[in-house]
Amino acid sequence: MNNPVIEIENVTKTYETGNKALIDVSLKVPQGAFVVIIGPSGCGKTTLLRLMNGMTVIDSGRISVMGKNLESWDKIQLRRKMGYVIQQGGLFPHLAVRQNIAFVLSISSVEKHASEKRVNGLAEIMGFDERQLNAFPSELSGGQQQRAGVARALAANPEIILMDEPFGALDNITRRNLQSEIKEMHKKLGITFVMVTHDLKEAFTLGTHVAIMNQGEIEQFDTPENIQKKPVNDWVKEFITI
Amino acid sequence: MALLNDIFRTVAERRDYLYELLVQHILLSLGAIVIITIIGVSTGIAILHYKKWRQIILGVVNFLYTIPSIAMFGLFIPLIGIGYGNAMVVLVIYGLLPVIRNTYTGLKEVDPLLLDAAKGMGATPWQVFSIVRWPLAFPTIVSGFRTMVVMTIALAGLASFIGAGGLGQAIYRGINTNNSSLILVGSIAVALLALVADLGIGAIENSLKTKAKKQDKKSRYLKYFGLGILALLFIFMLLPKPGNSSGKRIVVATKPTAEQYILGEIISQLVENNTDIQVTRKFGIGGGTSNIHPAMLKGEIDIYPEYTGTAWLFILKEPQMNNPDSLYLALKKMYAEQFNLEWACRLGFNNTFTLALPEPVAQNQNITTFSELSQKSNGFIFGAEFDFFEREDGFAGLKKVYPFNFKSNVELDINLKFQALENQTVDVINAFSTDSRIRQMNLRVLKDDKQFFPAYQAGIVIRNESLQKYPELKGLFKRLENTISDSTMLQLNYEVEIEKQSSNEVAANFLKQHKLLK
Repeated sequence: MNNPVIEIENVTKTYETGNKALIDVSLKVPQGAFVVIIGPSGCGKTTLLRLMNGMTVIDSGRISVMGKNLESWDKIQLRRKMGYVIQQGGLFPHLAVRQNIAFVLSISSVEKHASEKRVNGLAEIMGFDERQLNAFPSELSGGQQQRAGVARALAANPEIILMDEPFGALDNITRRNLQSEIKEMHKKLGITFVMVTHDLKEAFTLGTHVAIMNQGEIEQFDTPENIQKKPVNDWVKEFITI
Repeated sequence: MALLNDIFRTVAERRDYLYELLVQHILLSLGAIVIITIIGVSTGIAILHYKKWRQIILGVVNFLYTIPSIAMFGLFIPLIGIGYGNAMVVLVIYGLLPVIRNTYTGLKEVDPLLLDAAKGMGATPWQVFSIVRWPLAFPTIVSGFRTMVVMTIALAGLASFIGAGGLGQAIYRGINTNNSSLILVGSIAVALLALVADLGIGAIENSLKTKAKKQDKKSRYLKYFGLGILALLFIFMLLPKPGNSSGKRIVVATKPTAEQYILGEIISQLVENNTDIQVTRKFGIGGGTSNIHPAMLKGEIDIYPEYTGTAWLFILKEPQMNNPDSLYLALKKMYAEQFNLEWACRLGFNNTFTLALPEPVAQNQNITTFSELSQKSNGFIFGAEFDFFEREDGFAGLKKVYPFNFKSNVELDINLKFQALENQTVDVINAFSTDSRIRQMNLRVLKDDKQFFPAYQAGIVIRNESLQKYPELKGLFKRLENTISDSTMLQLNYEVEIEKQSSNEVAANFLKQHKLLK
């Protein structure tokens, strides 16, 4: 294992409602890995993801991202270095697809010409034509919207991409297609991916590492093969055979 | 068709007057719209962030919105006085609700997922607001703005009630001088103005919706149309207020009756024609004396026509006095001492309560005085509005002085009195002595031979400070002394209320006849 690009140590998070989302969680995300966090709903997987770009504040423990303690990061600068993809792409309905993809570039005042070049490059990779780039998100299909969401996350050349159930709302065929595209992209670009999903098949297909969570704790964190071969306990064994 | 002709004639004849009102209306509305938008939008944004204030502010604004607008105009008179400032405050208070509510709701209802996405990608709070939240809320905010603009333009029509001018003045004047085509012209103008503003905003709204796409021709034209209308409105705003050039200026006010409009015009034209002082006309102030007198004391009004009886009984609250000349002398002295106001002259006529009956009947029965009527009263039916029967200084007091014994007494709505007389449902009515319908229906006004009713002699009241400031006014009003007899005033009222001449012309003709115009 390389140096961890994200390191979470003994983190606890309790919501105002008294709901314990994370209990003494530790996780090391290796450089260039594709880490998938999976577990039943309410297990704290989204909370764990949102710790990584400072969207959720922890109660205790320590987090370091790209070799630097999270507290000493300017959160805005940190987030611009990390791509962020949410369900259904989270595209802005009032902006054209082109402007959506260029969002991070425009908020970090990248020069217009460079930004256009980058968007056109991404459009080529993702298979968008000129007409689609000028359309509004509502005019695209669900799969295309999600593609645009991924393109938006890639635009600023991030080192890490965080994805929160990115393919949750898609039909099966579109989902499989996108999964293989993402897998290709991960191999090609060498970026670290952290993804939350509730789809076991997706986790084992995409992940180089899988974290299985239950009730605020990580039950097992390992490669898909090792988890399948040696589940640490009965709960994990049962979870992966459903 | 006759109505349409009347309308066109009214527009043609009073073009300058209507244009001035239109400009006033636009200025007042635009000023209010700008202030409302600034306050409303920033309040809407503020309460999005300050939860504590949200309920309080929305509650207060909602509450204010439910107060009837007429009451609101009235409520602010003691605080701000009459005129532009008061109207502005009321318009702003009413306009705030739709703008604050729509701004807040629009901003609040933006999908939190999108705000989260923007934040998660490293947008600063300001970028989240300006790139995501605000544009997504914008259509809701604009629709609130649109509601507010139409409402403000319509509501500004009520501003004339408190002397702030605008097209409502035409409506108000039409109502008070029984001129239905003037009412219509004023109403149509207000409605058109509101409609044009609504269309203009709608056009801009539409063109914004298609902004991100290639603009087709239609939406571009729509946008130019909208922008053109807005530009026109702004040009109006930049126009100098009519007649603002000279530093010399006085304000003439009147109560909302045809007679007062005529007197106001006579005073104004006399001043304009004989001095270089500019006159601002605040005619038809709602509430009459009760609002004009305080405004005189504050210096918001310099001159207005008043009746001696009203001043004596209502302002000074002195007991009734029968001799009109000694009443006037006492009144003049007390006004000067207590209020520093000068009664400049008495015009000659007495607009008091009287009794009237058809001229042929009066001739037949040979009745000219109250006393003569009382002797023959058992042959007549008497009609009056119900509060005349209620008041001690009305019928009850009257009966103590004159032994009336009518066949019956009929209580009538004040507006139906003359009709009842025409239908011969009643034979004798009470009336004001200069009511134009007396002439129209050929009634005889009887003489109050025992002087039961107090005198309501018309006169001109002016602030002493204004006289000191403009000494040229000092002798001027003396020239109107005793120029208007009861029958002259009756004739002038008749010309305006029944013949539908404008009070402008009627006043000018009167002044010409008396060689008071240069």
